[in-house]
Amino acid sequence: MQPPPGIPAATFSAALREFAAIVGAQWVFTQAEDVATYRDAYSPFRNEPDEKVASAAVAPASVEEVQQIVRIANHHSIPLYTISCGRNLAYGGSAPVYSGSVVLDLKRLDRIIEVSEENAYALVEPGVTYFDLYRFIRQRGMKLWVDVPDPGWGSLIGNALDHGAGRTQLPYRDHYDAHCGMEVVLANGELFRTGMGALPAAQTWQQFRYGAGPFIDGMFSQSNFGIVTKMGFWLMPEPEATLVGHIRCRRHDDIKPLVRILANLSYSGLLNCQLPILSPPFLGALDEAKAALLDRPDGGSAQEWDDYAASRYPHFWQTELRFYGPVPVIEAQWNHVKGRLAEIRDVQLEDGDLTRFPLTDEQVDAVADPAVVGIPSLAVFSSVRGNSGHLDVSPIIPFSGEALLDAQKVFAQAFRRAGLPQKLGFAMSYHWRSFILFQGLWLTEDPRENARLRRMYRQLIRLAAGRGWGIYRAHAAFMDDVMSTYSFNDNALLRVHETLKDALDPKGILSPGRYGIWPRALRRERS
Amino acid sequence: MNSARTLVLLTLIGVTGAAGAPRALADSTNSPGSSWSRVGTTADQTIQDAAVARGREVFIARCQACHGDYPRDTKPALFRLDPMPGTRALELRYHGTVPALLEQRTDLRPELITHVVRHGIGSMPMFRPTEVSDEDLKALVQYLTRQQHR
Repeated sequence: MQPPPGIPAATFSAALREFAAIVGAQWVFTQAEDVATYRDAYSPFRNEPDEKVASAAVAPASVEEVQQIVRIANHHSIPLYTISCGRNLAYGGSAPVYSGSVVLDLKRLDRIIEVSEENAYALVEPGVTYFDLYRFIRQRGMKLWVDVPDPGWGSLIGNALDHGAGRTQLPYRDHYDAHCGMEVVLANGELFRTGMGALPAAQTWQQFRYGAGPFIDGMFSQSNFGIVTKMGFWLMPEPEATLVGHIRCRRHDDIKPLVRILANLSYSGLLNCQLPILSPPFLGALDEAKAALLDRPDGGSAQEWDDYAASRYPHFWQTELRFYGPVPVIEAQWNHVKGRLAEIRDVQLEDGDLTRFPLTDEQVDAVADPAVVGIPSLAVFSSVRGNSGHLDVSPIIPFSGEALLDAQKVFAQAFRRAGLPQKLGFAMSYHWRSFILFQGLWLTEDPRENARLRRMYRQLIRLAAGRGWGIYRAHAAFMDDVMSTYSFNDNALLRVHETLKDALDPKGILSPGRYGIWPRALRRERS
Repeated sequence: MNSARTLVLLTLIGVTGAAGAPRALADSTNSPGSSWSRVGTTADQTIQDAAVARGREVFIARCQACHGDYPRDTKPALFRLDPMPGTRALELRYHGTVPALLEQRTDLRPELITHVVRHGIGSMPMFRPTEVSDEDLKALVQYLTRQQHR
């Protein structure tokens, strides 16, 4: 058992004994085979000396136990790395950012504290998964949906705090935006609640998020200023039905009016679904002609791409819209969208399935894409079969066809020059008013190949930032790289983060290094 | 549930349950443990062995979401994914020489099950003791090797 860096073995042993006195010896993990289960299964440093690993793990079962663990850690200056369910694969999983930290595993805080059907919200602890809340609601026949991410085995709290998202409608699919109220443990063990939760007799903790005074919930997402032990979420009333509309466009430049019209409908509140935009020519195999286009400085003109695609693909762009609500309403919405899109020459608009709810268990199991109807699954792992995990580089792109075209070519060219296959490469509007243009990197068992992928990850971060496209979420190994691109006014934002860190956690015990926020004593660790 | 936990829970119910709107509130039976099942477990009355019965519950809670059976006639979708990645991966790996469904296998060695759960394989991650305890892992082994003991 290796103590955290700089911590004497005797001090570490004393802290572990004190942890055990709080949670029970069976919930303090120090044996190598147990601690190894906290490794990042999708580490880009797999089996290399630089892989970030824990020194031990401790798993409290209540908020009081969390407070006591934190006080002990603070006393002994033991770095803790907090995980909710530890399933944030591709972004670091259950492994610490700072090697040698003790993982504070909140999986045993797994209580669904309250679900209100009438006012459509839930209050949960960090160990509650999307599967758990879905099952809780379904077993009680409540007419509520949970927006779920791909995949659904993670924590509602953990996912929201890392700005994760699902694929139903706004505002529910942006999981942080759909939260209302937090309970937080600070580095000194103090407990507080945000928003209306600070009112001792609160009646609207999950219905009005501001309370009075500063709205500080955002400080606890993608950060290390505190440990969130409860969080409220707004849920979506089960719709009567969903209706799908398929859209296909023939030409390269059709994306410009397509996004302009759909964005306007979204801003107007007439379109709440997310926009998954795929381009078969961009996503298709790299042949000689496509390589020649990408090798041009401008990545190929519209006419050249149209000429390229004409003999290979039936259409240049495709998307599908999904409407949620009463049948007459969603049919009217789709008809309105069709009318607006008719200005795009040769656009194909096809009515898709109308699905009514609730579904039987058999119907649930037969849904082809469960997340779009709020059903948790692990199906997304079928997309990464045959490799050793993956990383996502996730740049935020402006909500315009022009920007999407630019980004498609910039990233396709980058992969072409690197000699790497471009994975994913499709646009999603998980969060309102922007696209994420996912770039996937498939990990291997070969350290040399993984080193190449790490270089590519960093290159894509810099490339995106140079164009003004920030990465919205990062694997633990690249948090410093990503945060270094948010450098306006000589890294003023980072200095604000560090000022807050020093004030709230002067010993720097909470998740050192998370999202580039290092405590004073460890700032040399910044990569 | 220890006493501290019970106290927290009761306190919370007192605070959050004060309004009159219909709500489902947690009690000692509402959170029997987290799982990755959409429907939860029901007892199989045909299983007499307690460890095997527990192992079946563990399989449903922790394994079935990837290694369960699935309908083969789902409709196409823009993002059409195989619903059971684990089962599908084993179909592709073994091409029918052994069952792709783990529950139908009769050749699984206990040490292999334990190793894969704790170390992962391919894109399947490892699982922590807070997700599958050592006792539950032993029960899972009992369940997945039950036909070898007959």
